[in-house]
Amino acid sequence: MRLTPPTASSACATARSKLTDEVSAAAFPALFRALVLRHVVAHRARTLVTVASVAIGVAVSVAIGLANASAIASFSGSAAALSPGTTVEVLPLGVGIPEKALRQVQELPGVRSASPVVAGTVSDAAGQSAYDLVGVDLIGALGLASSTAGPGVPSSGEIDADTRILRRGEIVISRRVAARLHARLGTPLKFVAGARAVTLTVGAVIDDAALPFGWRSIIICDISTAQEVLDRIGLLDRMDVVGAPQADDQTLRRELARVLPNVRIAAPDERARQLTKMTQAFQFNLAALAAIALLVGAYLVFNAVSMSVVQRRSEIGVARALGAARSTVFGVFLLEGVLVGVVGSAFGLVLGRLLARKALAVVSSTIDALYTTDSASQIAPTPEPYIAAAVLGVAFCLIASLLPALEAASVPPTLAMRIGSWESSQPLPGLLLVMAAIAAFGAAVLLAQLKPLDGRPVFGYASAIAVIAGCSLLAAPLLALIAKVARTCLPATAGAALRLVPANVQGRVRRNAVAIASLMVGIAMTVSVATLIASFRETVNTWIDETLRGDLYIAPAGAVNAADVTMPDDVLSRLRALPQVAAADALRSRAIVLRGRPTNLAASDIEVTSAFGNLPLLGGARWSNVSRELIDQPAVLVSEPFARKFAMATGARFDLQTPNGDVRLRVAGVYRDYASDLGYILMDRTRYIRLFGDRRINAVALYAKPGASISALRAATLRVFGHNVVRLTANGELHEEALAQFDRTFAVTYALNGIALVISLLGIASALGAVVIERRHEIGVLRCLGMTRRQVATMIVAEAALLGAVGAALGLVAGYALAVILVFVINRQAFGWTIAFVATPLYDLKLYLVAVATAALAGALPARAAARLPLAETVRAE
Amino acid sequence: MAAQAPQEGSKGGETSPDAVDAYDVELCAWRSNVGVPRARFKPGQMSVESTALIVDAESIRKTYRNGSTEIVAVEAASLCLKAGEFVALTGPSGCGKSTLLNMLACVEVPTAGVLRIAGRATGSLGDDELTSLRRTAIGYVFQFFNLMPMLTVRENVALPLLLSGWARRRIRPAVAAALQAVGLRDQAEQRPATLSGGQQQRAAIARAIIHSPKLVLADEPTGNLDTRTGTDVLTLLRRMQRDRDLTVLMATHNADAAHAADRIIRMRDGKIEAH
Repeated sequence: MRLTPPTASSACATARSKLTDEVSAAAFPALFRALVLRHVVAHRARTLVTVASVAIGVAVSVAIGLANASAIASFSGSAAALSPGTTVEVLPLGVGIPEKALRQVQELPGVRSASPVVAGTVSDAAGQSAYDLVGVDLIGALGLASSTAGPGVPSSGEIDADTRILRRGEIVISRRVAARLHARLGTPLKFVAGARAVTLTVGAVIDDAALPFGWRSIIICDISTAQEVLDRIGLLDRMDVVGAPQADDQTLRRELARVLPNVRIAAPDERARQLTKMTQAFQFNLAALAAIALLVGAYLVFNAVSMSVVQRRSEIGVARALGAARSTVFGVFLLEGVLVGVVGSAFGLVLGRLLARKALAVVSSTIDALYTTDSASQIAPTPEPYIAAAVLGVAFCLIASLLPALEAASVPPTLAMRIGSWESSQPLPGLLLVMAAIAAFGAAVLLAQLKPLDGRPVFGYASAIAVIAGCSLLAAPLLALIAKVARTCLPATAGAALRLVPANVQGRVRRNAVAIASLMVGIAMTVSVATLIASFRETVNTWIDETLRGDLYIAPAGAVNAADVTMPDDVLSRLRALPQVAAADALRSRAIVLRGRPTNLAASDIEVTSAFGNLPLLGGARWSNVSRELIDQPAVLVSEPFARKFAMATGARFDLQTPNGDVRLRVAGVYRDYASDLGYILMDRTRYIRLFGDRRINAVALYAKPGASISALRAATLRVFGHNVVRLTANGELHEEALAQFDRTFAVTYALNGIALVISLLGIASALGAVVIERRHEIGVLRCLGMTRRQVATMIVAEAALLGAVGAALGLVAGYALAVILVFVINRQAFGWTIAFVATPLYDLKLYLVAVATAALAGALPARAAARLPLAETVRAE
Repeated sequence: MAAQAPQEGSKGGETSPDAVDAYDVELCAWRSNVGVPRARFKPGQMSVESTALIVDAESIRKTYRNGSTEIVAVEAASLCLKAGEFVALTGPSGCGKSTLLNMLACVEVPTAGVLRIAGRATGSLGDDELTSLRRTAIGYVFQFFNLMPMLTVRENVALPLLLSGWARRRIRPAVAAALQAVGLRDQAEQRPATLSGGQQQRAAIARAIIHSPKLVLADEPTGNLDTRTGTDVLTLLRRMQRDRDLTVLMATHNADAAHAADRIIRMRDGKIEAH
């Protein structure tokens, strides 16, 4: 059998396809101009809305990214070692490192230098703003600085430029702090430190640029001044050790541990890493919310490019008939999406930089309140947030335009040349969509079961995205079903305009499904976050009610937010002696590191806490049993987030580093707590003092005798302390403060959520506008048949309202599903809290009505335009 | 192009909108077959018998503006159509046939001249009144059918009645009868996209005549169909016109189609050449 050359026909086909490809490649710019650019220019308003939505999404991502990066940069900056080249840091386990240890360390053979640091917090006289006060050995530091350039404490030249070496009681501040305190060289400034009033004089003012990034908001003074102000006489808070060139790190650590057995030796960047870790859940959640704003924007891009394809269908047909390859048509529409992404991202980057300062203020105030006082006030000059947001913006747009571009490429030329018949003639793969939606919901359930990745609820968010995807897939079949039911069930009395609505919706079910999907995402986000916040707030409110039993709380005046400001405990006996006082509970809380992770160690007088307070214990444990164990045995209570993060239940044992060596402690119970997601270890204060030698306290809770006047108690307390050095908060005030703090913390969440909602409402407005333009011809024919302008307007507004109603309803359902994931998966994984699920039906109803009204309103504008379309022109479109 | 004689019985378009509705119902014998009330005729108003002219156009003109240039689409066209006439409007492409048809359909308003449709002068009518006139007195058959793609054939045919506010129970038998008449009873629940061109045009004819309009305007009704289907559609249109005593003006390129008409009006360069 002779083989015929297979090349004859196939070569011809290959040549033809090659020719088509070449023609198409050459025609690409022309096709792009004809099919996309003109269209984009002709529909300026819609293009603007789409670009704006991407820009807003990117801007929010940039702003949050910059705020997060700046907060981290600030941690790194402020936690940066004092001396360049610091090999290790020596940190105390108890109240401080004895000063005399400095000489021991300096004399070690492997040590080149060791710089002492005393650090604490002071507040201005009004008790409103807290400042970090850092005491350093200026003489030593100057000696070092003159020989080594680089970051660290300012060099002698910089200080000398303004003044002289500091005297006792003098401080160095940056120009920024000077401006904030209205201070100049020589100005005496009143501060409160540890419930004592102190006066410090400005000895030098330094240019901000001369200080490392995180050091620009702190107050620097000589070590002896800091020890005096912060009540640390003879103690150091840190030693920065620089190893000798020949000494290796491990040997140095061993040597240090030998001479100083009761300290913690850490890498110089450990504190920065801890601070970053502390806030990672919070920052990750913000970044995720920002990305969702971008996701909603991507829906709009999908919508815009889909609309572009629909409206250009006849042109695509002509182009295809004239030989344009499918790949060219695909590329042209993909490029449209990418261009929207590029332009939107460009605007978004600029807008994001402008928004970043505001975002940073919000992020910083939350971080200040919850984690540390070290947070940033300046935007860090880092390119990563810009790059990340721009890449995300363009990538989302590219993905969003993939499907419509594929649709454009797959429309056969013959069908493409007919108007309006394509979608109506294509059956909706309803069953397939429903199956896909079910698969997505199944995936969501499975993903919700997975454990967090490195403390980040990545799979929780993936589960949320799967829910959104499932609901998006359901949009078209659901809309088709509702339209079908409405078509048959509409009352006979409904007018012609209303009777046409279900048919119109059904006729363009895919197009309409995209519009309602973007609304659904916005509503779902808003409902879920509102539910999460309401659930959280209600839980916290109940918890505060249960736990805040003290009548008056006393804290040093500088103890704003998360600063570790303490006062001596010698006031306790005088407070207990007051005639109005039934009991006084001394409270101590400080940040520690356990198993390399940041957490908090707290101490209270357990006898008082158990008799007067009410910490809710989990798992049916009883205070009467637990309190005895805490007092008599080496046992502690741990908070719920601690138990979850360190995987410890009642009965677990762990070792805690103390100045007297490691101590094995038993977990006697777990209590419910919403004060810190880092968790708490709570022990009896007597044991705490024995283990750590730390008698300082952060606050006192006073319990009044029955019938005692709170105002009299307040006056008596002030007499004990003197004015303006302590902050007194009555029970109700503290409750309100706590809730106000809660609301401030969630303000940024609300803002991000609001942005997502606005983008989605813009989306439905733009989609409805586009649908009307698409239907010009059809509306013209209806007008020819005798439909009045009023009927046209009624029909379009009713359609818009129906789409709004279905989209918002789907959004509510998706919102509740997301809320369940947020409350029971993401929150638990990120923060470790158990929250009672509290729905917000009234809020949801209002949101629903607003969404439907917005949709109807969004329909009213194009409806008016549609009713006024010149009839002959629209009919002539055939 | 001769000016038309004054119309018999014309009241100069001074009738009220109700008058059109009233005699519209009166005129329609066919409606009685489907149970439509025969008369809402109001004494003192113009009657069908007194309006022998369905279309009465006096020197109507249509111009468009393209920047500073004025384009004349129809130049001083005068024509009359008597009730029950089947008239063909022929002429080369771009001669103004469609514009003239659109003016007669009250889709476009003449720039100058006087136009009376079913005895009503259209010049003084607002958009709502023109819409009402289109809805009740005019049926339109488009070259490209222009059926609503999302509606079934039955729903498409019912549209004019739906827009006129008919109750559903009255619409159903009327549509059934119309579909029966055009031979589409079995396709009633199908979407237009599933029908052939000929079937779509039949549905469009059913939609144009279901409300028994005074005037049916057909713009190249066979232009998008093959010869045989075109002939069928033309036969149907002719039959409908005879059966229901309709007045039809059909724009066409097709000489055969034109010769099937009672009368031919020829147009060239926006002007009527001959009747």
